[in-house]
Amino acid sequence: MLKNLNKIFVLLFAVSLSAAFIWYQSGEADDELADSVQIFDQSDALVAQLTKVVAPDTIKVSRDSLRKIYRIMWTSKSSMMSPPKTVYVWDSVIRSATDAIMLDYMDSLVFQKH
Amino acid sequence: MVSIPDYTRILFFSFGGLLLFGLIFIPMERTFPAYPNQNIIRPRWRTDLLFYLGQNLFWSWLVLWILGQFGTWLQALVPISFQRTIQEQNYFLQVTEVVILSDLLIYWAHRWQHSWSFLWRFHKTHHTAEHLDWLAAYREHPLDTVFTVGVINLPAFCLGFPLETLAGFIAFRGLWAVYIHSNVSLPIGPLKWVIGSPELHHWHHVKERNCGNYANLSPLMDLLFGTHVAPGHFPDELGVNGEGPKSYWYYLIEPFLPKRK
Repeated sequence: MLKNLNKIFVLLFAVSLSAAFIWYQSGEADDELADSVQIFDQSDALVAQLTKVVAPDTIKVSRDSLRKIYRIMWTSKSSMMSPPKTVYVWDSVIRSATDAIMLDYMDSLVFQKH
Repeated sequence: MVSIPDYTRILFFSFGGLLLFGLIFIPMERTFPAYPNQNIIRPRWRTDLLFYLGQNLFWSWLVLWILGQFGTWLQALVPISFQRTIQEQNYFLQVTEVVILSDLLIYWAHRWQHSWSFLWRFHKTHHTAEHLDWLAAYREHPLDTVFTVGVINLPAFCLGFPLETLAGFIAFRGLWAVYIHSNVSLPIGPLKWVIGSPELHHWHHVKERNCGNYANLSPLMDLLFGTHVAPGHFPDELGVNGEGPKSYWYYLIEPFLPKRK
């Protein structure tokens, strides 16, 4: 009887921790997505700023392009159980977007060019 | 470029993950052991710990970079209108599609890793473990990880499945991959025909190279394509024929060395 209780406890403990882990990871994704949406909302201003440092129509950063890159980076991160370095990369891309050096970097990330 | 706060977070997630998975799986392995004589501190555990730390502290950047390069390029090939159609579907339909699609893809990619010699050079590292447990799940050559992670994730993203659909599933699948390698025997009755298990995956790790049970979450693909192996007990021997234990560093360079005759 005691042995069976022990087994049930271990199983419940493992399932609870696993569920907490999945819940945390999903929650983190939701939070990051919410943050990213806020950033996307500023993307019109970002494009306007970008066109100041390069000739207008040279580069067009669409919301879809930004979202795609963000999603791929997030998934790669989660799959690997690795820390969210990509979020910092993402932040730095956005925050340094007016920096001409960053344009080269963004360009290398296969942003849509027109 | 990694700043100090970034690296603090890397360390936190790496060692936190190790602690969390240890808390989940060590009690399970002691309570429901598939191999009762196998200790938690078993032969070559240090090698697998190095694989875990290497993957989390260092190699994940390589994987991220490569997937970042290919991901955007691949996704651009799929029309946005098609991606929007996927995103507008019912949530549960999306989840079902993601599960089936990723299992189908990983099944064939995994078979390919065993049958094509070039991919086997890298994938073999994962099979050199002669004692399987939760930590042995991390024994993977970094380039093998790039291939596996790419196959599992990129198609779903290229087709436009939203992050909300995938987030929980990705976390679950990561946990599942560790579970099926663990030294745990939990009989699940008739569910064994639709849900994978450590027992099935241990048969995938027997010494024969083309050993079956290539699917990930469910054995359905193996049943469908005739590679399902389920003798009803755990195998006696694991590893790769003719391969003895080697160091972590040797496993990293081994795929690039000339073939032994």
